[in-house]
Amino acid sequence: MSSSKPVALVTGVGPGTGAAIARRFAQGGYAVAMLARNRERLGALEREITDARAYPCDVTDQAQLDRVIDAVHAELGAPKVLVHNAVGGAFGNFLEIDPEVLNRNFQVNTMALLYLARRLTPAMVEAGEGAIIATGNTSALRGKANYAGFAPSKAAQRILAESIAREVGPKGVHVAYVLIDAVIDLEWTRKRFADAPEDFFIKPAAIAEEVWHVAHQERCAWSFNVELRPFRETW
Amino acid sequence: MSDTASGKVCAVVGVGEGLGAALARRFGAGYRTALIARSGEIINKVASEIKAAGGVALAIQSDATVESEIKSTHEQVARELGPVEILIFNGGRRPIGRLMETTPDVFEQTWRLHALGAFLWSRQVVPQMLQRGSGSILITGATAGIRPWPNSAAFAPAKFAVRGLAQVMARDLHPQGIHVAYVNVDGGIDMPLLREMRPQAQDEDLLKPSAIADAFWYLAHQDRSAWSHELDLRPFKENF
Repeated sequence: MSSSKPVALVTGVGPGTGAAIARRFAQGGYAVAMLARNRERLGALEREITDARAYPCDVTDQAQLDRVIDAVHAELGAPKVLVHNAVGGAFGNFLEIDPEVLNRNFQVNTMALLYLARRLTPAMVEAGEGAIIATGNTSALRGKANYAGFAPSKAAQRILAESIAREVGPKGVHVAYVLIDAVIDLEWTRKRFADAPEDFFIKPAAIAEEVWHVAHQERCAWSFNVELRPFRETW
Repeated sequence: MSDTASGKVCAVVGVGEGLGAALARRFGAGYRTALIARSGEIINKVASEIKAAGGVALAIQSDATVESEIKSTHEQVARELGPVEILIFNGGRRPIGRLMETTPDVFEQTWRLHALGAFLWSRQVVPQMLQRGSGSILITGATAGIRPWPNSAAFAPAKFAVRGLAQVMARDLHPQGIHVAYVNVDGGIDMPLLREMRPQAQDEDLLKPSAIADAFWYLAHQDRSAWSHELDLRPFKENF
């Protein structure tokens, strides 16, 4: 089903932010390629969202990722927008964590962005337009004790995005880092923060709206760093 | 008028022919807008345009470094238009000079306009915003507030100060429902003065005032579950 619609490739399409981003871009007229490991969940979203297609894969497996990107090109076309939302996380201080955890998170958060950008930017540069947006969080700026297995990979991801931005920005490809400083409103976070009021959480749809906005900024006024937090969040 | 904002008031402080005029036009299309500047020429012209398009605009000549003038200007805005929902502080003037080229007077005046002016104007509008539990304060920033050139001996300290003020206000006022944001305009703005200074500049080297104004508009209307306190804007070709 090669499409005349612009294509957005979104990684890490789970029940929260990823799904909201897929919905926003589909609603905005894109054909959306949804990447995630969970085949069942992705299938359900494919049935729900018109113009969104499931591409189950592990973004840390370069061969799998290559095959999936080939399939997206063949079936939908060359992506105009990449949103790297897949995230590997962990909790624990540097003595507690299994060192392999940081390596694994680095693969998901940073290396996958590198693979994806290397595959997708040449066509964007040739077209003279495109957008690459990575979603991050405060760990990209600050290493708290219990984020030793996670924060270093998000900081690396942000710096990689900045490097890519400086390389391809002047060639017409917009790279931005959307930093979400909040607890996202999801089923499991509602359970974990059961006493928190409604406005404690950031809404996935609000994040998606921001990602959509950044991806469509006029190129005479592009943002790289976009920080988002609920009005009542302490920072 | 836009039905999303009709009836609410926006005050734009610092309206020259570049960004200030674009901000006034953008917000004038949805808000009852006060255009405030020391010189009357541009504010009267843009206010007439807004009115001709069916909007409500009020031009007031006022110096943003003098507390008594700010107070009476704010009273006039509140009386004639209503309580300010959005304050845009766009104090301009960018003196260029290294340390030994900058006089103490230029240093002090620059700080007064950017930092003290934002402080005094915010103190005027915040009490009514707190009563309502809503409002936005948006401040125009510059690269000099983050990573200055050596010839910004007066401008950079003033912009650092106003950026610091913006962060203090954000941390203080966000939980009380008032959105504060600092917009780092990281590049040259396309306006006559800059074109004179940089005759070799191409269109694509510069930020369009209307695009910056769109970003302000967007910030002013973010869902409060996802507010930004600082936003950088630059042309795609800009070296950063």
